[in-house]
Amino acid sequence: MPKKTIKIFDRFLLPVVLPGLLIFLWEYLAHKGVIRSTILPAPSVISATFYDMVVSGELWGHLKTSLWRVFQGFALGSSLGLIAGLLISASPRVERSLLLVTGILRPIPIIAWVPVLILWMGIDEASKVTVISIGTFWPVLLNVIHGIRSTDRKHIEVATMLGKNPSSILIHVILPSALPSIFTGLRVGIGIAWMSVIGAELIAASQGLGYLIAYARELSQADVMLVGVACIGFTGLLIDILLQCIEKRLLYWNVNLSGKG
Amino acid sequence: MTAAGKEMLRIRNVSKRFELDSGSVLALDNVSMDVKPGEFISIVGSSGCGKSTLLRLVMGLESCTSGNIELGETNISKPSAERGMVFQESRLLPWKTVAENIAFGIPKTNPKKEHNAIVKEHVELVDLHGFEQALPYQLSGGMQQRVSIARALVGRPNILLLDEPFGALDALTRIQMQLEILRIWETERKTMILVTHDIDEAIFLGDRVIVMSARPGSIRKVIHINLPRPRDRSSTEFMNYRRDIFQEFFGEQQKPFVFEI
Repeated sequence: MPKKTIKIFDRFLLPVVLPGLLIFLWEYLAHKGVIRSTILPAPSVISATFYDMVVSGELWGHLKTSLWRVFQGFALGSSLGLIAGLLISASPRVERSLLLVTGILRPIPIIAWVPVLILWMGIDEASKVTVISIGTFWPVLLNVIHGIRSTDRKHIEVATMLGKNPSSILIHVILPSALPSIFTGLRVGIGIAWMSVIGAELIAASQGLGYLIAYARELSQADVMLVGVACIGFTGLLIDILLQCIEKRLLYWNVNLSGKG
Repeated sequence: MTAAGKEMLRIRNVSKRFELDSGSVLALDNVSMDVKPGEFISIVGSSGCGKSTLLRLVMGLESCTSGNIELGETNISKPSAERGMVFQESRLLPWKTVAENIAFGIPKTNPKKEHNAIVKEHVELVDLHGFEQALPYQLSGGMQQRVSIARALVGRPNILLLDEPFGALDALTRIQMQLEILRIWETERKTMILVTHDIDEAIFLGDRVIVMSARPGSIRKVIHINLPRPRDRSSTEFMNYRRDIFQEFFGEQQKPFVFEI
């Protein structure tokens, strides 16, 4: 039994020990007046604000707006990344013709696109969704290409030997083999998408978590700002956990993932 | 169900040259042999003697530089369901179950509704009943190789090509698999060509043992094994064959296993 207790401790308690201690220290210092509450309110104050904003539905409104934008941008960006990745992997000529374009576009920070896209598409939803899809596109693209390239040639040879046509080889061999890598791309992509939406909303928006933070700054509401920041962090974590669960389900055969073997 | 291989395999003056960056290498030099339907041929040779290349040419995975290989009246130029191949590594698709991996070998000309029956029949043939839903990583090396054999047989080939199929297995499993392949050969009566570097294995299984020499790969000697099956590995006749083949490799001076006074 003690072994099991240690296991439970390692798994569930260990990750919360350090944050718990830090919050405790923070609360203590705030009460002693070491930390100025206009700059960094105590955790208890932030929690109270959080509670109020949840009850009033204000937080949920902003969160919903941001999530919907991320969903649209992520769906668009990752599908385009997947399609482009397939095309580039399928034909060296496509790859060669896109080499310079991708080389120049890829290093551009996502935030640099925001003013440009606002000019082109206006200040409403379209520009934000586009920013997010650009952010999602690159990691998905690179990981799709990497995944397809690392398909075991011996597996492809077996499929050829068994008389499979190219589309069947793609469905039965190449895509399943690339799936772990594609998933890595999607996970990185959604992380960037979530950061991009906040960035875009900080610059120009009338709804969303980024807007909530920017507006609270103008009103010097440090507690509201921090509620927004914390909400971004927790939502990002939840999205990642969700994606990990889907990954485990889908890649049941992957020995590296499940730790079996 | 006995589908005897009805056609003669003719290998005529086959040479194979590989073009490498550092120059060209003659892997096979003027190799000729006939394989009768239902015959079991063992090919032994040191590594790099082109024995695997010969098998790949018979499969149609590579093309001859000169000479030709015919099965009956048709010239072999690409893989076909009438020839099945088993490699040293099982090459199973890790995302497919045992049953799905075996079904992957069924040619698409086969009606869909027969698939289950065909898979079931071959699961029984390789003695894997109860493991249909297992994933490759859950199986031992020997079991993985059984699945690989079943996958090569579901297309009902006339010829089964075995490229060092037991080379990666431990000694005990290897002997068990040799008995297994013998049993399959006796029930299915297919032509089998086994490439190996294990002299015992070659004598134990083959009607004829083809000894190959290296660089360039060519046939050095053909030895008919006139022993009834199942063969006793410790019998005098077996030992004599063994000595003959050892002499082919090591000459009169060096006899690694025989001490004469």
